[in-house]
Amino acid sequence: MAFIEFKDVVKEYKGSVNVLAVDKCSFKINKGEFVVILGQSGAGKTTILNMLGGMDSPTSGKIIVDGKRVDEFDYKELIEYRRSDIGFVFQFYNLIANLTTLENVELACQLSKDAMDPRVVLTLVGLLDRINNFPSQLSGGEQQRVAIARAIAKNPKILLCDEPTGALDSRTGQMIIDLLLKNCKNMQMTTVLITHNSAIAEVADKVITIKNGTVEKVLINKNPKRVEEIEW
Amino acid sequence: MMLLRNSLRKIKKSLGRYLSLLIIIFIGVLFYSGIIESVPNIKDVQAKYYQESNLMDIKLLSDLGFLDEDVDAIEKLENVDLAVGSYSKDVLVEDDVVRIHALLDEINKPYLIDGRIPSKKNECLADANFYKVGDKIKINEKYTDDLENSVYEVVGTIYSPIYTSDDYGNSSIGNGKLHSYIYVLKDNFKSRYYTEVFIVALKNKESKPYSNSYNNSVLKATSQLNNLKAERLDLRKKEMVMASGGMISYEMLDDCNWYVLNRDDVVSSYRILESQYNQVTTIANVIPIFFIVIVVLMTSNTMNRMIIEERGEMGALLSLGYSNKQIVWTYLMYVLSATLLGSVLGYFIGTLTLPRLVYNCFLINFPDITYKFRLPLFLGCVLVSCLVMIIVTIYATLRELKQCPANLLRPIAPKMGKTIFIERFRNIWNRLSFSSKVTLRNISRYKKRVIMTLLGTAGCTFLIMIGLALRDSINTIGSKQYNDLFKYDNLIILNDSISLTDDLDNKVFTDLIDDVLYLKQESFKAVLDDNSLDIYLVVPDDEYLFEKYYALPDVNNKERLNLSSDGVIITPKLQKRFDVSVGDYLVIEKSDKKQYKLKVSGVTENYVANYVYMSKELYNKTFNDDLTYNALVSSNLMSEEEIAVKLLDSGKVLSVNFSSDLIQTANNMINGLNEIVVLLVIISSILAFTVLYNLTNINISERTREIATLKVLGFRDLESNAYIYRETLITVIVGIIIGLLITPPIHSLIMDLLEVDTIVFLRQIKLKSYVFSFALTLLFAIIMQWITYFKIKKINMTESLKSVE
Repeated sequence: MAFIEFKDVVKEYKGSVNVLAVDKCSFKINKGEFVVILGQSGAGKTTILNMLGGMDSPTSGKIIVDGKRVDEFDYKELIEYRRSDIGFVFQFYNLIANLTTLENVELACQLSKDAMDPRVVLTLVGLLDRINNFPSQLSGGEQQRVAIARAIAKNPKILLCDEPTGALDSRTGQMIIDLLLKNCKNMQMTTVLITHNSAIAEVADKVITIKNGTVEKVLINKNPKRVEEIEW
Repeated sequence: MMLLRNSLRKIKKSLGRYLSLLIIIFIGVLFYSGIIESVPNIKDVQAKYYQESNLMDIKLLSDLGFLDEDVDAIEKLENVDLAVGSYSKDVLVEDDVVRIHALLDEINKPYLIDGRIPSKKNECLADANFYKVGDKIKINEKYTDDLENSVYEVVGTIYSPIYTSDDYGNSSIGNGKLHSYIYVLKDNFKSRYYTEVFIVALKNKESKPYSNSYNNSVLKATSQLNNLKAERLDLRKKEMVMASGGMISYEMLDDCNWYVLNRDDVVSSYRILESQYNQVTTIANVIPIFFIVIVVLMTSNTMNRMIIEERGEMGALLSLGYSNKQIVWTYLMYVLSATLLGSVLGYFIGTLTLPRLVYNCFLINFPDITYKFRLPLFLGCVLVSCLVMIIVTIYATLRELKQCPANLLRPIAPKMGKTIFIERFRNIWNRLSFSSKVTLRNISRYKKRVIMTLLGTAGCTFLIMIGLALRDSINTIGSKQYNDLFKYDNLIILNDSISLTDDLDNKVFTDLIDDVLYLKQESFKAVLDDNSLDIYLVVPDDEYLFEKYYALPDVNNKERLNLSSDGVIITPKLQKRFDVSVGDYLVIEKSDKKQYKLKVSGVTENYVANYVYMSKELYNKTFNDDLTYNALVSSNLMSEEEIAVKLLDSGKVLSVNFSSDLIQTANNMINGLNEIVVLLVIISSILAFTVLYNLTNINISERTREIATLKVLGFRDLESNAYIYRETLITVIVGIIIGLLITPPIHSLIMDLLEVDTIVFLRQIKLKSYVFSFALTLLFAIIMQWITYFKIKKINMTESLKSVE
């Protein structure tokens, strides 16, 4: 049985004009996989990520994570789901400007019972020497590494990344992807990354291509490329 | 044209902000104009009422009455505009004392509430507070001798300009309290001579009540009357001797005199109103300053926020080639439309409602308040608001526009996080919990907002507490003076002075009162250079009873002071005014201008009037005179009603003053104040709400992204709420404490301004007032916390995914 399963998931935004953002979307993800969800902007990939991350609920269909029906969670259960099961990496880092590197990670550690030691995580992302710096004193790449540290410090079951390299240059982006990949494999942390950048897809175990709100194809990379081999 | 449309769009798009701007200005102008306008508006009503009724300035009484020739002579005086001879008589209607006045066409014209003016001798106009048209008023037979009728039919109800408060004053019959009044046609009185003469002094247009010009014209007329007195009295005496056919000799009329009374003595509430005007004016002068500060800070904060949020748009307009001026205009139009609308609405609603409210607090029987539009105040409010807003907007806009367009199109760099002061003390910092660290950081990060929250809550607490404190100070005076300091039940003024060697007819007093302490109580003036203060000299007959009735605590250590033969005990106002303390000398002046030097041996606590207490021995030494007594204080043995009726009936007593009545009178003085306190509490509540709501809104709008991120991370509702609001709550509590701390000194300052010669206000504020102000302000903060909670709950997590604008 798959670790994550989307089954005929539909998301419709009601309003003066009804918008069908996600239509009968189905896919499966196994534990420890590094998965890229690929699609043009407006294809519906962010909506999928929102539903998977417990930030939104589907109109119909099933979302099963680790045997639990996430689509049936109520408001409070969704909070607990985000709190303990999900780590989130944002395109624009979303660090708290008023907290130091260490404190930003501590902020997340407060939430989880089996959180990792903040300093250990920061060593993992190579930022131990910057723990007392504020976000504005860090480069974009460094900020994103803090964000990743913050996400994995909670020790979540799933790490969700929304265009994590979108605001970075290609070389820094590669470093970030490398970090995410290593973390995925070392910690056996299922990682789902959404992007419109097909180059990144080449390093993934599985690539789910989304078009017009539904799964166009699922590609399993038997031999994913190494990070050094890709470029954009 | 496009820019105008842009302005309109902005209003539509950010209606919440537009409205909050409008409401802040609206509230600010409403309270400012309303409070400032209250006293002038009520004074206008008073002045107009007095003018229309042609209220007397001086009332002349004489032991011998007045003849037409007297009235003519008075009218011929240079500073007398009008003199009218008239009659009045106190009668009993059932058990109540009612004063019958002659209805005069020219002077003291009553204000008709209902019905018509009497045309027949058995008709009357009656006090609208107690009678209605059609009532029959039957006068007790004992009092009907010099009246044509004993039953009068009420054909009209009225307010009289002489009786404007609910305390009508005293009478020398019945229970000593004037209950009501009626007006009858003049020819109802059979008396050959007038009982009184009403006089209008020569005045000019500026002579509004209480003005210097008014007081001067009354003084001039008074001194001319005093000059005329001897001549007229002499003529009248001679005439009486003639008329009596030798029954009366000229000498027998020696003691007969004229009494010149002014509005202070005659018009009930005339004096109280003046002090109430002062109270409200003082409040009106202090509070608006605070409002102006708040309004400027709040609106400038809102505008700054708006302009920062829209810097991208400003950059776009600049790069399209619009000039700075045109861009500033779009914002000016936005701001000015809100300011104009807010200030005009605020002015009208404020001046229409608040004066009426304050007026109702005063509990006076005046005709209804009329609205008066004052162009200068209106223009002042509108122009100043606009000017302030123009400056704020131009400053904020130009500051952003100074940057090049490319810079503006980029998002504003988030404010740098900073190590704060406490962090240097690693020991302390490391021991703090994570959440307190965050809170401390945030407090130092959002300094401006923190300062405004402090100011808002400190101000709100201050407003509530100052209201309560004013009430505390004034409320307790009556009972302090007449319960704690003066322990007697009644003060009785005797008709004739007696010496205790006289054969006192005590039968009048036994069964009615007990433990009688005879006193000499005489009016003096304490003088030093140009300074003077009215005082009562009190000389008790009996040491033991004096100790029973007068607590006489030392003003500082509260220990009881005792009278001695080498010095007098004075009250604090004398000490302050003349800078005399124990061992110094005080000079007092009798009505005949003779001066006496007294050594001060103690200062005692006192709140109402000024007293100098002196022992019998010292009195004899100082005045070289045998001591006679003109008053007594005692304990009640019967009901106050019975005591008053019987004593006044005996003819030996001039007046009976009960301590309970004096407390009541003191309390009446501050009746209006209670309502004003309620008004203050409402004003400050609205203020606190507006300020806190606005600040919370800005706080949330600035930190939407942060809050959304926290939610994605899995913060529970209460946790994100605490994360955002904890700093506000702490700031609010600090603000409240500041408010509680600044109130006592300001309160003391206000009390200094309010104090008149005859009153000392308590400076101490009750614990209850502290607690109430604290609790109420905190309640507002907690309600705001709830609003924040729901606002945070509504924030969509997808905000965190959006690109930085």
